[in-house]
Amino acid sequence: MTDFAVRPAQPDRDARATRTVLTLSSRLVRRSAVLLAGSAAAYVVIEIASYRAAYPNGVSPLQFAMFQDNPAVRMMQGVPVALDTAGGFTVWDAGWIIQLILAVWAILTASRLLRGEEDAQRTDLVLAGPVRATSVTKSAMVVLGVASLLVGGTVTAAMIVAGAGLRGPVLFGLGLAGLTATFAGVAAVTSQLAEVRRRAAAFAAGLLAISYVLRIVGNSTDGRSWVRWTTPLGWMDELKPFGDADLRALLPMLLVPVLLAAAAVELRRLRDTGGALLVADASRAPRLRLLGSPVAFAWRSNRAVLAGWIVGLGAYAAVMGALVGTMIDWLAQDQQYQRALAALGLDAALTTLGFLAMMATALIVAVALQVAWRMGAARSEEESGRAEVILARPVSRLRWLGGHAALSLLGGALLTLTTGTALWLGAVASSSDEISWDAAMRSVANGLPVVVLIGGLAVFSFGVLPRLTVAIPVIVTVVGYLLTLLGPALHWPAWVLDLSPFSHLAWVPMAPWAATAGVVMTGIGLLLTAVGLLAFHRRDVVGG
Amino acid sequence: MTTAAIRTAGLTKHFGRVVALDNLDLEVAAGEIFGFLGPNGAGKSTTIRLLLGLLRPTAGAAWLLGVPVAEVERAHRSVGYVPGDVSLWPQLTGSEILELLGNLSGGVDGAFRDELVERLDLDPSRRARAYSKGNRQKIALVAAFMTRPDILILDEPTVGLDPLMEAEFQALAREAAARGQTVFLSSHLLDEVEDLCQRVAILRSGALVEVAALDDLRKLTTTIFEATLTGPTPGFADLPEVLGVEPMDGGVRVTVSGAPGEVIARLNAAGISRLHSRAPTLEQIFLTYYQTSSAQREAVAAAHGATGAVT
Repeated sequence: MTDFAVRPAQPDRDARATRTVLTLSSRLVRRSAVLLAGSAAAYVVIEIASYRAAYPNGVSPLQFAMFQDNPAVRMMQGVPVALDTAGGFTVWDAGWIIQLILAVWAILTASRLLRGEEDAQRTDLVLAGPVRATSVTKSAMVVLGVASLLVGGTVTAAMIVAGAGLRGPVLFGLGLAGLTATFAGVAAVTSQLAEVRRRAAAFAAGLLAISYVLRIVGNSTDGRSWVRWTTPLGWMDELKPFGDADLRALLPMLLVPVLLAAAAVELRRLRDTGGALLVADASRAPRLRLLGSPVAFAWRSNRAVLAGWIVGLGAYAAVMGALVGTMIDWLAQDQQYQRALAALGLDAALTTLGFLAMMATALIVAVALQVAWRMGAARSEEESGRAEVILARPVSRLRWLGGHAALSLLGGALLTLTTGTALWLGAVASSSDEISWDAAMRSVANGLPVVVLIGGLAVFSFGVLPRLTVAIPVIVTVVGYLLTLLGPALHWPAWVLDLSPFSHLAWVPMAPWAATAGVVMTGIGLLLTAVGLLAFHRRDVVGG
Repeated sequence: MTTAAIRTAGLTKHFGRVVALDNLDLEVAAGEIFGFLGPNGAGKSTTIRLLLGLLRPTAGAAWLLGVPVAEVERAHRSVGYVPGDVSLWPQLTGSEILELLGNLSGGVDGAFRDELVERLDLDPSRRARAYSKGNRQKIALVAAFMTRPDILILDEPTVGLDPLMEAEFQALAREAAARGQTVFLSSHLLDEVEDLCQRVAILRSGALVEVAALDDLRKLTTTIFEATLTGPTPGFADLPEVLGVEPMDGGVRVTVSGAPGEVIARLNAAGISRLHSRAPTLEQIFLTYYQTSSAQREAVAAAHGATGAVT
């Protein structure tokens, strides 16, 4: 008989294990990172082309001053810098949207790698090998860092190719990489704190929302610009890649992600696998409300998320409502600006009601995305096998999915209603009486047909291509919205613009409701819902 | 004639080009404990998910108490189900899950539910997230039994249970059958089926191999000889009565159907140092149905903890 002994360490094998963990992490991130890098690069290229088409002679000093002095524009997009260059214009006009998208991606991806994998107990399999828990965390952070650089680098390359110079694109790309890595780090830390991925991502998203508000404050007046240093979303405003670059801003961009990653690794060391630093009690008294039917239960399961959206989007709408007031005062002071805007063809957007309509459309994009994600929750019930537990009871598929579809639309309607009210409240709070509750409500309700259409598309995807339940409606929404933002400036043909559902919305309340388009889109949405329900009835219930 | 509890006719399911279930004809009488056997991937779960209307058949049909399985609202009123892989809502406690599932079935007898919770030694105040695999399985068992359904469809229900709880489950299944409930028990654990079931179906690669009463199976005139030999193992390939030959440590295991005279003569010629003969366990009956490659047979045997040693 031989004695049992621990096998001697085999540096080769251990190194291979570490490499394997790295490979695994990168496989989990690769596809979405490449897609994101490509989309961001395409976005900046379109933006640069759009600038050259719209301002063939560059932005005039008058236009520049107009953007700079407009508090609404400053707070939303940032203080304009170097608008006489295509790159500077891109950073100012598209940079904030790109930064938000990258931050959201970083949060979703980091929380998936560092908490979602653990929720699904796949990490256990990895950790059964000769691999330390902290080295899994480290690998994930390295991969996320590389992915951040990939995204930033792709944008840099795209801008250089598009002829935006060299130094500016490099700084902008570095800034984007830093921001992405920062929010990956934030989510890595919250993934150590919260015991489920949804909560880890929600904490990080809350911090992103706070960062966004801080940036609004920092950009509101020159006197408060120091606030921008406190928020990752403000660092790019300080960096000014195409202007008088302040390289000190690179310091937090590159340092903070490293510190956050180190903190995440250290926190990982302190906790159990599957455990968290903030845990809810394992036991509690039963709460038996809303367990009576599949629909009641679906409401119970998703109401917290809906409440989060209502609070978040409501707060955003209130800020926007307050800005409309500022905007009105500002416009009223200077007739000359109004004429200048009319000459630019932007007059519709810069009348009170036109601005309101524009804001409402942006808010409706968020509502439509929420509805798509809500159907994604139904899909994850199916994917996890939990729907099967319900469908093995005397519950028909139509009742189950129909309930989820109805609640998605109801949630969308509720979100729209509260968003409209928040717009109005914001306007009232900034002591503007130019926006009535009625006008605010009509402006957001105008978008409901799009919400029904996108919701229907989500149900349709659920029935026909369940794995793409969220992807299809989200892509249609985002691409459709970008089409209406960029298409006109690029003089794309009308039929291309007509592909976007948003093109068919009238500028309510400035213009009357486009009844025919509204009815048609609602009809298509309901039809898609019916087809989706039928398709689900006929197909197999499938897991992940 | 009374209505069968479960009936399938030509039930077939294809996933793309893979035939998961081929032309299954099955009839399970009311009040029966019916074993549904087969190795992993044989199509047991596919059959069960077809019976529950979770999968749509490629061809054929199935009925639960005469109700077509597609009419789930009627058919499922008389069904309790334990899935093969139990997924629960992590944020809900055990009692909340039982409340939900009970309500979906139109309400349950609370006293009986509490008795089941008690007997399975379950703490229902804990969140599902904190449950071990065994505890999740217990929740699924309580949820299936608590409505006293006419048909219990159980997909490997004892996975993750300790032996004590496994015994409790068997008691529950017997009591259910005594009350006239039908138990459809899928398993790859043959002991479990051997103890409980009156009839078993054996499924292999999506096709039904055999449906038989357990007593009939045991009556198969199969004998297993396990011989430790001093000389080299003789060949049996020319003997039609030999169903299987497996090498074992220092000898050979021969499964014989029919008269064993010639086999014993050849073993004797090779020099028997020890000979053990016995009637087959269900395990071995089961394995003889798998006249596939011996490698596969060994894999199945190993997976099921089949004993190779002679005692």
